[in-house]
This record gives sequence, C-alpha cells and structure tokens, in this order.
Amino acid sequence: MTATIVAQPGTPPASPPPKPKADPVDRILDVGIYIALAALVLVFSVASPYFLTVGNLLNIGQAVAQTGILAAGVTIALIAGQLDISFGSVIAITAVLIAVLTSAGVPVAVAVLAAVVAGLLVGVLNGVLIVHLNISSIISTLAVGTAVTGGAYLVASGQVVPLPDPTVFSWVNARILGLPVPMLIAIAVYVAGWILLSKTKLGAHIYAVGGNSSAALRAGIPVKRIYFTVLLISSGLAVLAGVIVLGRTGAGDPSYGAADMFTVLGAVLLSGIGLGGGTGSVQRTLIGVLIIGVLANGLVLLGVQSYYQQLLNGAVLVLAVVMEAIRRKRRSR
Amino acid sequence: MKHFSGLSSALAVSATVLLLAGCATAANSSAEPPAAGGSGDRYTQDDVTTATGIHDVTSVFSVPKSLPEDLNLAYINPSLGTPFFKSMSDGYKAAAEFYGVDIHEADLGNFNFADAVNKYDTISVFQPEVVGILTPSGAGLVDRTRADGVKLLASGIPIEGADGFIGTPERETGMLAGSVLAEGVAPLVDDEWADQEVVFVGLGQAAIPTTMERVESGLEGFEAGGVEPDSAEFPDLGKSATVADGVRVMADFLTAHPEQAIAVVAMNDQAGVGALQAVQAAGRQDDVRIVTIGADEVGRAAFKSDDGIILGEVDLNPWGAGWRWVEAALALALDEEFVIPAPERVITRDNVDELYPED
Amino acid sequence: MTTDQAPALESLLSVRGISKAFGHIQALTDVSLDIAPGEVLALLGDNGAGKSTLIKILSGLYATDSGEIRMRGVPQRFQSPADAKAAGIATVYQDLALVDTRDVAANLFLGREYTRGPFIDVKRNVAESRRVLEQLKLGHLPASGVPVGVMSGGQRQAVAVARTVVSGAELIIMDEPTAALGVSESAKVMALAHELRDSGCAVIIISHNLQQVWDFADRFAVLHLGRLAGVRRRSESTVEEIVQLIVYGAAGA
Repeated sequence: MTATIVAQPGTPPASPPPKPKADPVDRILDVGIYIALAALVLVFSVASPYFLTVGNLLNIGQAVAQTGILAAGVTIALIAGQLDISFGSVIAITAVLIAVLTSAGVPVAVAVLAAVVAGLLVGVLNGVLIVHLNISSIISTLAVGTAVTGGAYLVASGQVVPLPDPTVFSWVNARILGLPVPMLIAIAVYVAGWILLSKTKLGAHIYAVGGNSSAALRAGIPVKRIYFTVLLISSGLAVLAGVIVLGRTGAGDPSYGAADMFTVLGAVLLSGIGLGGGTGSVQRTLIGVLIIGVLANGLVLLGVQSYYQQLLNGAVLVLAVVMEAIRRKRRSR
Repeated sequence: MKHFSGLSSALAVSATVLLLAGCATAANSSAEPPAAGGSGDRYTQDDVTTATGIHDVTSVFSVPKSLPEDLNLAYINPSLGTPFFKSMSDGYKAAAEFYGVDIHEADLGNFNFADAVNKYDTISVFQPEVVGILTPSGAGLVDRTRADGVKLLASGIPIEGADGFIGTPERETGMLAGSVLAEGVAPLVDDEWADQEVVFVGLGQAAIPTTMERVESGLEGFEAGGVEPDSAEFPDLGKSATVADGVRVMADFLTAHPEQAIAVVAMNDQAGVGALQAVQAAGRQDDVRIVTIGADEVGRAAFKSDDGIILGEVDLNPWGAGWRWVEAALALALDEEFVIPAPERVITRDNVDELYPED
Repeated sequence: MTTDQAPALESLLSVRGISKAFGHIQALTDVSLDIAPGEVLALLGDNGAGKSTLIKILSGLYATDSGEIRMRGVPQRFQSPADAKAAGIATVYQDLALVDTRDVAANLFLGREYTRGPFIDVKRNVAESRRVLEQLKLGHLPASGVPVGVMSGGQRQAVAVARTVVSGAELIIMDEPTAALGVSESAKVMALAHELRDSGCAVIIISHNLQQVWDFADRFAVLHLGRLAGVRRRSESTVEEIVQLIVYGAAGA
C-alpha cells in the first residue's frame, strides 16, 4: 500500500534523502488480510474437527472457484480503473443459453460458442458505453447487466431449464489427481492473471491506465483498447464461471449470478484494491476470496445460525469498506 | 364441493386428500402412518401429537425408538431469512432432537440455488445418511449425492432422480385455498359485487412451476366452490415472492383493473400480505378478497390486524413440514416407506387465536 | 527594445515571428526566440502574458497563425504533441503525468518499455532507469519497488524530468516546476536543470517567480501582453530590470 509522505515546505534537506517507507498503520492494513485469513483458519481448526481435513479444504477450494474466477476478472478490470458489475448477468445468460440451446437440439459445442459470443458481447457493450459514451463503469455495467439478466429470463421463459444431458458437463464435477476441476481452473486463472499483471507489457499498461489514464494516453498507451481488453477479460471469465455453475447444478437458471454480487465485490474490496484503479493484484484478491470462502464453510460446520452468518458477511464487507476509506484518507493527506 | 366454514370441515377435506395423496416412494403400498395410541418399539401418533404441541403434526412415518448409532441428517435451507423456512428449520431441529439424531443445516441465503452443490459439499463432511433441499434446479445435486452414496430427499419441489420427495401436494393445497376463497366471495357475488366483473388472481412465481400449480389449482378450487369468475389472471411475482413483490404486482394489477372485483389466491403469506397492503393503499378494500397459503408469523400477524380482506390462510404448518421431513428422512435411511400428507387446516378468524395462542 | 538575436546556426530551437490569436484575443504577437544547447532559459511573465500559449505551441498542442519554428535549423510543422516529441522537445507539465501507483522504472519507461515478446524485461528497465538516474545525479532515488506516489514533490518532479531524458529529448520545457515546492526542493529541481544543461540539453523553465529562478537561469526571456518584452543574460542584467520588464513590458519605465 502507498504511504503518503509529502515534504512540507521548509523541511531541511535530509542527506541522503530517506527512502520512503510505509508507516505502521499502512503496514497493518497491508498484512491485515493475511492475518485475518490465518486467524479464521486457526479458529475454525480448533472449533471444528472437520475443518482442517483434506476433504473439507478441497470442498472450500471447489466452492470458492466460481467466486474466485469472477473476482479475478473484476480485479483486472478494476486495476484499469473500471468497476465491472455485470458478471452476474453473464453467468445467467451463459447457463441459460447453453441449457436452452442444447434442449432445442443444438450441438453442445455450438451452444457453448453462442454463450461465449453472448458473454463477450456484454464486454463489448460495456466498453462502448464506458469508452465511447463516457459513462461511468459502474453505471454502464449495471445497466448492461440488468438488461442481460432480463434477456436471460426471456430466453429461459422465466423457468429453470434443466440440461437435457447433464453428463456433457459432468467434467465440472470430476476430480483430477484428487483435485476438483473448478479449483484447478481457478488456479490456472490466478496464475495467468498474476503473469498477465506482473510480467507482461499489457499488464504494465493496465496498471498505468488505471493509475493515471491521461498520463498513459500522453505516453502513447492505447487507453481505449486497454479498457476494452480488461472488460472482455472480465466478461470472458464470467462465461467460464457460468459454465461451471451450469455443470455443478445441471440446470440453467436466470437467477444465477444474482447472489454473487456481494461475495465477489466483498472479496475484491477485502483485498484492499480500492476503487481508484492502478493498484491491486490477483494474489491479494485471492486472499479476499479465501476469507469469504473459509467463513462460509466454517460457519456451516459450526452450525452457526445463518442470521449470524449474514451478519458476519456484512460485517466483513463493512470492514473492507472502512479499511478502504482509511487508506484513501491517508493517501490524500 | 361444499363451502367450508372453519376447522372441522377443513380437516374433513384434508383427510380425504390424505387418502388421495398416497405413498411417496411407490415401491410398495405397505406404508402406514403411525397407529394412534399403543406403545412398543416405535413412536406413535400420540407420542408425536404430545411432542409437537400446538404445531399438531400428523406423523408421516412411525419412527423406531432405537435408531442406528451416528445416524445423521442434513438440510440445505433455501432461505432462513424467510419466516416460512425459519419455522421449518425450527421444526426439523425439534424433530431431530426428539428422535435423537443429528441434523446439520446450511443456508442458501436468499434462494441462491446456484450455491446448492457447494453447500452440499460443505455439509457432506458430516457424512449424513440423508440430505434434504428445496431447489428448482437439483440435477447436479443428484449426481453429487449419488457419488457419495448419500440419499437425496427433495423437499417442497420434486427433483428428478432424487431418492424421495416430501412436500405439500400443490394441487390439493391450491384447491383448498380456492374453496375457502369461494366460500367467502360467494355471498358478495350475489350482493355488493353483483354489478362488477369478478377476476380471479393467482399470485405465483412463473419460474417455479410448483407455485404456479398451486395457484392454478386455486382457480380450480374456486370454481368448484361455486363461483365462476369472468376472467382469471396469473401475474408473475418474479424471482422472489416477498411482501414487496406482492405490493408491486398487486398495485399494478389494481391500477389496470379499476372497476373489477378481485379474488386472490396468493402462493405464500408474503405475497398475500403485500397484496393486502396494495389494496389498503389503493382504498380498494370493498373490491378485493384474499386467501393466502402458508400461515407463517408474517401471514398471521397481518391476518389478525386486517379488516376482513384476508378470508383465511391455508396452514402449511411449516414447523410441521420440517418435523415431517425428518420423519421421512429417517424412513428413507431405514429403507422404509412414508406418506405425504395434504395440508391439514385453514386458519380463519374463528380459530387463529386457538391454533396460534402465542401470537 | 532589445532582442538577443543569437546566430541561428548555434541555436537548438529557433522561433521566428510567431503569432497566435484565439478569436479576438491576440495571445502572442510576433515572438522570436532562440535557445542553444547547454543553456537554461527562464521564460517569465505575468499571468496572461502568453507563457503557456508559447509553450503549448512548442509542445505541438497549438498550431501557430504565422511564424516559423526550427529545430537545429530544420523547419517544423507540429500537428500533435507526438510531432514535437519526435523533434526532440519534451514538456514536463505541472501535473507531471506520473502514474503514482507505479515505481520509477515503470514511469520512466511508460509506453516504451523494454520487452521480450509479450513480457516486460523488468531487469533491463530497472538497469536503464538506474543509469539515467545516476547520470542526472539522482542515484538516491529507488528505481524499483517504491511507488512514485509516496515520494516528495521534488523527487516526483525529478522523475518526470528524468523521463524526458529517457525519451531522448534535447529541449526540455518545465512548466512552473517549483510552483508546489518548498525552498530546498525548488533548489534541487534547479540543480537538476543544471545537470540537464551540463549533459548538453537545452532547458526552458517557465515561472512567474523570478526569485526562485534568478540564480539558476543563464538567460531570461520576458513576455508582456503577448509580446516579447526583452531577453537578458543574467550576467548583464539585474533583478530590478527583469521585474520592470515583467510588470511594465519595458526596462527603466
């Protein structure tokens, strides 16, 4: 995280100038999520004999895969300064389109292709509104997402559409070397996201565009193309999550994705990425995803009343937002 | 079909329906509800009646007094924030305690069915014999439970390929609601509503077929009750069926039908209470009568304070439904049979204080 | 009125008779100016004197109505900032155009990163950054790992200036570099201007604060109401004379 050390006018010149250092509060905010995750794991391990078992940890891995894949996409877009909240609608349209088309006898490959095209179109539409019409990303993606969700209900006639042959997507429920497939997919997404952001030129430009878009533009970086790229990555990953949900449940339901809004945004906010753009990483988002996933799992194992679960989830979100507010305040000092 | 007036006739009908409902697991027809009285190695209806008190549960399976060690169950609740399902949760927990088995619970939050398989995975570490869930999309869960050798007992909404189903027979429930509505509306049709068109309205969720079956059967019961509406409409409550959804849908409906008299069967108390609020806001008290299905706390509270617009509430006895799910699950675990009961009673102005004295 | 007409051959930049009007407002009238390599020129004037219009013309943001711009004797027609940049003119604006969340190396090579295929050659970017920082006697600045947002105003200014060196600029224009800085930080920025001069670059510093630039500039060009009021060498002038040029447009008034 960034500390803000602005030299006061009249400060005597220090020689040599001190290397800027993060101060303790920033340090705590920085490592806080790691401590929180470790504390949760510790508490649940002590409180439930089932928690720290290989089976349960794999269950957590499986359960957070979908949230995690979505959160990775949201993170990449947010680093570029765009908050994409249309992912829920992409999940719905993906699951519903594939279920409806295969029910109508369309080959699975074609149905999946149609879902991919539909999902990427959502990204393009978001991009057109944000880049060409200059509408803020949160408004644009909310509008597009709402419309697409409506489209999903329309395509499904408001019904839950079972897959005619669920075995086609049963690979989603399979395990490779004992590891659940969705978890492996999520791991691949995070490794790719990490490489993209920290190793590639595109990644460097994503940070630059999010950190200071006009500076990036003046430096010759194709800012608009970067915006489109991150929005397409985000909606593309939502398509992937949609296929996983479809395989997991065996049916396409236009209400899918609606509940992911809070877990995904919660995980992303927990990472401390902030809404300003230019900072964050998929690694930190992953910690946020795991905190929410571990909390959901552990509370069920402890048999905690779900009212408290919702309360706790809400509290985690509030905490994330407060941490972000503290950070922003310190930054602007 | 006759008009009903209160508890006794409702019980009479539900007894008939009970016979029609038949066996849940159709393998053989030897299943019997617990005999009244007697003692032995199984709990009887009397035991259950005593244990369930005001909830007055009709048992669906005579549970053996000694059960295998470590027998445990799991229920994935669709929304503990909804009074109906909270009541159900209290019921299955009470039953589990009574019968001496463990029950583990997970919550889908606000009907987040996409998360059902993940919640199953979480709860599967307890290695339950039987897991229960209410979901319109359960195909993936069938595969998962089968792979684990866990029995899936669908609750409320049948799941194709599941090991069993226990729930409210939608048709009988809807018909009962419709007949209660017809009984209350019939005198109006001859009198105050004589010059008005009468519209039947079924408030259900188009996305969940069982709710539509319920309200469509409401129309059937309404007509069977001797009232022939001029038209019937089924506006969609949408994804959820909350009070707010009821208000929204009914307010629009009232606007679109300014002159008509309207008879409503609501799929649940929330939708019915929402409709009631919309009617009150529009000042259309004289034009509308409502029967709801559920009779949870929200429904009963509104019912007790309204001005005669809600005629009655079919008592789905969610607490009892939870209790009975445990009995059915135990039957399934022991490879025995259970019966699906039809709704037992209608809450009316005359009996509500007697049946729910704690309100 | 005295104008220092340095021979065009020595000039890096040579501006001849440029004028610019916005509607009825004549922002610049017949301005001619030269700057040689290895020279620091302070461009002075009150608000509205035409400083920023002149700078925007030199940066390629505005086209001139009339007049000529030459770089090393070659006539230029700037259609865009990219043209000016290509001609070797780099401008450091007050906003610095830094990405605060990224480190020095990322900022110095923003948009012109060394790569290997699709991957960033981080080692090389950092090594080159160190080299440039050393060259400008900025070796104390961390080339990597520290976001420039946490650095002081003077350090950030230094990073922005170093970036113009990376871009290969020969003429570096600094727009009010000391406006937001304290005394010691301002001195450091001016020292940096000397480093640039010593490495053979020409530097134009825009300022409305004569005190801050007096000790550091070799010459002073003063604009008054869109006209060049005068150009003076420091060795041949006084603070009082320059102030009179700034305020009245003429010395000895």
